[in-house]
Amino acid sequence: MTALLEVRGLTLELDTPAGRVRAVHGLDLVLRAGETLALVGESGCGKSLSALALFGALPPAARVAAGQAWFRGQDLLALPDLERRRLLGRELALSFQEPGAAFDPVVPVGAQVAETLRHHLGLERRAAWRRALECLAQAGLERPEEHARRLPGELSGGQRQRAMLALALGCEPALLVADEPTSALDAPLAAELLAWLAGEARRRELALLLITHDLAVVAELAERVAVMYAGRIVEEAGVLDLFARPSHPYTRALLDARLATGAARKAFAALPGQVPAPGAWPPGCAFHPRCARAEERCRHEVPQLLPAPGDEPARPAQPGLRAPDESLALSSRRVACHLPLTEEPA
Amino acid sequence: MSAPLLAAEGLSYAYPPRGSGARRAGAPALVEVGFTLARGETLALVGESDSGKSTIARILAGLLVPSAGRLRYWRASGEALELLTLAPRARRRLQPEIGLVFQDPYQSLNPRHTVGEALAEPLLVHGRVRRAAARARARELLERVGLEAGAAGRFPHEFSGGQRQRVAIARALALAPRCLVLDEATSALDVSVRAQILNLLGDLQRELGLGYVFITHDLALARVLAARTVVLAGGRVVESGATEEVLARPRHPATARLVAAVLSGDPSRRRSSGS
Repeated sequence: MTALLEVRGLTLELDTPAGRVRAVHGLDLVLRAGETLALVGESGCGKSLSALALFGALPPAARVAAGQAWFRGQDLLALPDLERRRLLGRELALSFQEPGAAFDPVVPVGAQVAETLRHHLGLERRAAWRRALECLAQAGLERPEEHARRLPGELSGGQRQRAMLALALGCEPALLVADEPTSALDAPLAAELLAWLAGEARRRELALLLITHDLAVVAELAERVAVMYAGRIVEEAGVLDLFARPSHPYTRALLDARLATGAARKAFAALPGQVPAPGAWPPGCAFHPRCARAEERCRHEVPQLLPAPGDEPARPAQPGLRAPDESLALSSRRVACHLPLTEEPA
Repeated sequence: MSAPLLAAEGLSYAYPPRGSGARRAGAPALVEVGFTLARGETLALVGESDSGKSTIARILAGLLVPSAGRLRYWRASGEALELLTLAPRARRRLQPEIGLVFQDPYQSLNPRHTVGEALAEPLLVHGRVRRAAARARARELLERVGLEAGAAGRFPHEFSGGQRQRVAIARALALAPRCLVLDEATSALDVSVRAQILNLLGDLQRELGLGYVFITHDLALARVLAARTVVLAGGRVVESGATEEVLARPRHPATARLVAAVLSGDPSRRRSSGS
């Protein structure tokens, strides 16, 4: 199976009061049809910015400095605006953390979904409205007839999230980029939404690029995981592999920061310090100031993203989910670390 | 059981009628809510959105007056006070002892005040300290929550989310509270930063003997923080008891929903796996 989305060398720059700085450095990502890939990292690592770049939706201070993003034979980053807009929403869609961002606050949500359907699919008014109601119902919004006539602000947070997903999935896109789909929701709604997303991704053979800081969300949805730190991917692996035996000390630290299920009241394994801001990336491995394993080399030399030691190439990301893929060595584990962890699975 | 700190009994609150929107006019936001908190204890108040948990936070912090109920508070001397029937002046004087930390510290910090000013302000308003003493105390508080004293000269937007939450905690500590109400205080934070803040809260509690009312929608968080949990739904307490007991044997459907929502964090035990 070939790649649906192939991002190569994506490099983003930000204008800051201190001058132009790099925010994402040479990002490579491959997403196959129907696959769920999680892009994981803390605030400020560049994960959301990378997604916005694909959609030509970067904030004014940011720009693409280099790279390509191939989607069905077209480079999204080089497409003229008009052609890109024709693809966006139709074949690839974006859902935001805060669903308010996707809606016009003064137009009822049903009308906004219908308008998108008319625009992209050329449906006539009444057919678009009927289809919009179907989309809202499929997205799990109860009483769609009633809610479709409400303004975005009149829906609860959970309902708005559903409405936004109806909007995003209405044209049956092949790829959905979901930026922190659950972090604005309380736990029961988040759990429901994750289960729904997993089901929809399977049913529609939807490729999902999940952007999140929360490994508990990754554990529920992803088949493969790419961990980002300070604008670079530092580790990439199948989800079971990554959780069972992380190679990068940063991945290990993120896993340790999960709430231990079981034991009550003890110190939490906190990662000291914080993600360096773009422009303040330390030399060498950007993680070295927070890394207990760091030695001299880590302070000077940027580690390359390479197959992890002892990893057999091209095995299925998750047994039973999909056959080994000859086209991409990406199903195997890659890590950017001079001193990767080499524990055996527990 | 150690000494009591707070006891709520029959707290009720009705939102004022609203012109439009989904909420029915006058729908009760709290109905006869009761719970107790001991000195140095963490009590979790858990519920979904609109369960009334933030209303409780506001009542405890003196920002809302309930329509009915009692709220007793035990001073360090052991003297018990009825917070809701205290004269306004006496209540205000007591308020520094109960601090409040919100989910989003950005909304509780004035963007045009330096962090040092934000920390000194409550000291100047409530305490009888001079400006120089307030500034010195602000620096001390910043160090206490793991920030450099130099942070006092910077503005809120110059900090990351986790650092701002440290500032908010420092601010709540400024008036030497005995009780902190933490309203979704870690929900907006990255998981790794959340661990740092939880450790800080744990250290402060051990050192200062603070009582925490930890308000969250996440039972997983309640489990690691609080020995006792109160579950709220529709403005009522639907269940309360030892957190482990509540998790292991939920008796109310609302609790069961919250229990079912706890993610395993383990991809080999995912609930939605179709394989």
